[in-house]
Amino acid sequence: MKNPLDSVRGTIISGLLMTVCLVVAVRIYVSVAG
Amino acid sequence: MEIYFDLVRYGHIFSGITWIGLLYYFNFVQVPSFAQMDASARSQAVQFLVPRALLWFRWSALATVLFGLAYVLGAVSSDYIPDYLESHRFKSILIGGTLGIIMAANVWFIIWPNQKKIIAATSATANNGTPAPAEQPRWGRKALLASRTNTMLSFPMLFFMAGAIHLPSLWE
Repeated sequence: MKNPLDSVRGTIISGLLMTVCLVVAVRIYVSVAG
Repeated sequence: MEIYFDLVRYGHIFSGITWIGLLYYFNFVQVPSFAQMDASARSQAVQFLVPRALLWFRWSALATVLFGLAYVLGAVSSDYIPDYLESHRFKSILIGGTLGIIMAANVWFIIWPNQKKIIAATSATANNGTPAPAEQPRWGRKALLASRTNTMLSFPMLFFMAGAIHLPSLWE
């Protein structure tokens, strides 16, 4: 499997996906912890 | 006390823009350009352009972290922001700051040591005709992956840093 960090596009997409995952994690935390 | 936070915040933002601007220059401009340049042009760039860019890059990374820590420590030890540690603002900064510290460690412990070896080897080749060391491609690969990792981490880092002030609804 190709490393996404080998290309600029893969790096940007990985960064955006990571941002979305962290935002979802925060929203789950907020809904659980109140 | 207000002037302390204003100056530290300004220093943090100024050095942070310098750092991340150079990070994007390396990843979006320099690396793809180097792949297209001939060996002699690349050698010149590695000897004279890259060291200057890396000088600003690594010291602005350190300054960003130090200004950020100075801000948080000041906020914790004063009443400038009431209940700072319990605030949504701090939670966002905690996520962004953790990513930023990982990125600065990448700069100082992976990118710079490997780039330093590449610059020295390139200069030795250009000035004395010394053959390029066999490990040189490995140094470049390590530095590239660390730099690309930092570019990836910069997206959530910037989101949570800016979100600390501009996106309070994230935590509500």
